[in-house]
Amino acid sequence: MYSNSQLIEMAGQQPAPFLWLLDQFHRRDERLTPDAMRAIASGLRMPLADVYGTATFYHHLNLGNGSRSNPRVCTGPVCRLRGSEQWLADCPQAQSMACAGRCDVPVPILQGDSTHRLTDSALEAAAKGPLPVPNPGGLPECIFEHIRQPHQATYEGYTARDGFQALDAALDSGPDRVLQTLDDSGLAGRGGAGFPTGRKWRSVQEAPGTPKTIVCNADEGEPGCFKDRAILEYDPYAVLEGMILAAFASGAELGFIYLRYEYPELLTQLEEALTACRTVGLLGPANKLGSDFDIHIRRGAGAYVCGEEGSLLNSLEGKHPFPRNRPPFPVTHGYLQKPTVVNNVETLAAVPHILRHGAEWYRDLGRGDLVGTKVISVSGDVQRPGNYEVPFGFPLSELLYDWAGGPPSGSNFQAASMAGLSGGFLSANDFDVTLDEPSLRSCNSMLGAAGIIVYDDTRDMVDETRVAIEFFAEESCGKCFPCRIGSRRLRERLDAVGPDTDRDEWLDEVNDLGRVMRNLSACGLGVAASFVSDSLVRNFPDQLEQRFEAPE
Amino acid sequence: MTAAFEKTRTICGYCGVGCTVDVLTRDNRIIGIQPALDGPANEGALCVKGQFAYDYVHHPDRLRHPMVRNAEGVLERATWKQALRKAAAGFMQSAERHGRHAVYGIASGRTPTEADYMMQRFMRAGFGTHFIDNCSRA
Amino acid sequence: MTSPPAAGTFMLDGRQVEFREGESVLAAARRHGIDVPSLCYDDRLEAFGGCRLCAVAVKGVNGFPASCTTQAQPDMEVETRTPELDDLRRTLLAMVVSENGSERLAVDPLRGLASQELQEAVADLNPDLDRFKGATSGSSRPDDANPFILRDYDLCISCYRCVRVCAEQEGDYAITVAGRGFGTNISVEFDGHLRDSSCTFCGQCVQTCPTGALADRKAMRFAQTEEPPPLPTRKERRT
Repeated sequence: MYSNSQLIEMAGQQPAPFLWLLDQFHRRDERLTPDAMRAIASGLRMPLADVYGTATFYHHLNLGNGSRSNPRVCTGPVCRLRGSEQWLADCPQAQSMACAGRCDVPVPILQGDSTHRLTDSALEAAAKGPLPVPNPGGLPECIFEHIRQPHQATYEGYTARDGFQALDAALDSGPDRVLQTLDDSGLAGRGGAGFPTGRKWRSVQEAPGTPKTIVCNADEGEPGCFKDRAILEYDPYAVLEGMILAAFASGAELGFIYLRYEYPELLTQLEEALTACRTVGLLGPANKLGSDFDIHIRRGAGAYVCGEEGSLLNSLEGKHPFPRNRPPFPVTHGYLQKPTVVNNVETLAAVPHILRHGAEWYRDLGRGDLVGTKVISVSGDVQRPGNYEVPFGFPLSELLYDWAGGPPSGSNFQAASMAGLSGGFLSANDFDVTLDEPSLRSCNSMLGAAGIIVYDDTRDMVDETRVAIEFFAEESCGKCFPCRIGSRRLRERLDAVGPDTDRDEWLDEVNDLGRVMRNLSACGLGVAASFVSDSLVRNFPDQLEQRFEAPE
Repeated sequence: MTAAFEKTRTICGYCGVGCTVDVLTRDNRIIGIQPALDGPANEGALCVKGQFAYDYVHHPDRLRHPMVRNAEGVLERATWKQALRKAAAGFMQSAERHGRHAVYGIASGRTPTEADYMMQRFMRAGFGTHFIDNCSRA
Repeated sequence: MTSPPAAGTFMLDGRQVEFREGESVLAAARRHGIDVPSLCYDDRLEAFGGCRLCAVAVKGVNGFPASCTTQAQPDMEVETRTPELDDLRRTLLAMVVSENGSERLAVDPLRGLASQELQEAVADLNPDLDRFKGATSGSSRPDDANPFILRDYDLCISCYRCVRVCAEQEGDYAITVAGRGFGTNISVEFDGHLRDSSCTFCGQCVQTCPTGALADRKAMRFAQTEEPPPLPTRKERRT
């Protein structure tokens, strides 16, 4: 057990000390005490008020009487379908947590640093999620090319196949070759924003200012998304190789993995992987790149908005995690205002495969004019939930019926959420769309980070919309007025759907709230909430109308 | 609720910064002070004294004429001449008894340059001491 | 203060105007006499981009960026008032008014220098004051018994001008944003009182507050225009 001053001294020797200290004190004392916050404030020369204010932002930090070891029960949209709210109510010392990224194996319970799975019959240890099943269509894969190989998650296993070959080749051919291949491959951000990866890396390479930074965004907070967890659990070295390649191509000296709080087992596993890389000279002082590039893991503390890159960078810097105003963009003004690459786990994991097989290979994986593949998390009312890697342009119906096994026996599909919850709900009538942005945009939705929650015809879509809006209202950061007020008002409106409510006024207000949030919100959170409410009104008008009618 | 008040533009008298303020008055009494956003020295900023310390203006305890302690140590109203004589005698007595450096002058931050000049002449030429300072900031 | 040199010109509501180096679209517009509404903007502070009322239409740009955080650029074409923008702003302002209810919209100007800004925006944009009714967000602190600053957060709209002026202008960092979303509140450390914090009672938070949520308690007391919460007794002040 370290003393306050020992922890402060240890923090002083590393970058991004604030989040690290929050986690250390939170572990040591089981909560974040005023004494700890005072020590952090004086140790890091931060205003005490700001340490307190920022700490109150994060869900998982216990500032009051609660304890870090109190069980947290997932009340994400999928876990609610499995009755998690009732379990929560039955367990008085438990607290609720937002979607914990284990929708393929609901219901997760996080206690301290270990995860358990609660089912109707048992409570079992569930450190790792399921391995993605072999591609049901027999299609070639990129991200999952080796993920099912034995010991892929160990250094020996990774290098026994073609691990770090892409890096070795890059060291021979130089950074420009890497950038050129990425440009040619058409790889774009797989966190949902879809910015071309090669262009991002090149911008950082060309931007003045050092040290440059690579950030792996592993703050997978979108409900219904659990693909980054699977990639990091079963093929972590691919992500690390991607980061090292990014550092080589852009000239970065500093790396971070921003890991969400809800993946504590990954924290240990990734630390081991980083140690292995340091041992063989891939990371750390005077490494094979000819730099001092190293990677540090920083653990989030429970905040959906920290998956937004501006918030994530503010969080890393120890600031209040509000999104940043853009421009300037992170490629020129990122971590500590220096040039910074922020990439999603999946994007980074794709890079070694693309460099090994060539740009042409990757482009050809997509359907038609579309380029490459996407890992999609499928969960909810479906026979075989899990992560599936599909070509862009793949039909949604084929994924849901053929690959994921269709609806549970005796029911039919009714709806599916897109982009986790951020794309709203598609009606089963629209399941003939293909999985790519242009196609989904024509249905007023988006693919985004590609979580799909499926709802069968036993579900009440008004209730599901309320669950989704509740999430966005809970996670709204409070910076911009449209989202802060709008998400709350939408939530209240969804609570009030019923015969006592004036239907026309309700629709008028919900439409206007959505319009303001979509057009004026400062980041994607407020926009996403409006997608959800709009999709209810547009795609499920009958269920809505039914609620307004007086009961017979 | 919203009764009218007048605004009078002036300079805060507390220190040498010279913050521009608007004094808010009603019926010729000060009811508040607001900083001037266009004040060249302060651009809308003030400190606690400039912002809030105006009670003295209308305070019943405020001195309105010189006071001098009598033999019993009780303050009594005096003329300016009496008061200045008393003060001068006190200074002289200290200097004679303990030497010229027993006297120390602190000029107010609110004094104009000419008065500051007089003050330092008073200390240096009058007493022969260089113990002279000012409080040019609040 | 000397102004930065002119850096170029851009199209603003159909006329060519010059802008200065590093100037935002909002600052340039106001300097040229075009009043773009805003509630979180204080030209002494770093632009925040919170209220989004200053959103404008920029040719070639998707959506409506906040003009306070958008740098003026040569050849930019900006519209500050279109029917769609007016409508969006009016709806947004109705949402803002709903946050604390319309009953206490009118506040005594003695509360502070900027205290009329929300009312003025309402007078300008004329939103429907009865829409979007729901929970109120503020939580006043009548228990903070200092003689100078009234923390009447029932009127707060979370623009954070107070927090920012405290940090950026005064350098005190006494107050902070605590919590999240609709439940956000303005706080000192551990939710305490100003006198136990590093607040120096300079009053700048009071003077930049656009709703009177932070108010000049002393002026209200001296003017006796409305009954402020009672002052602490001498004994209470000591403890």
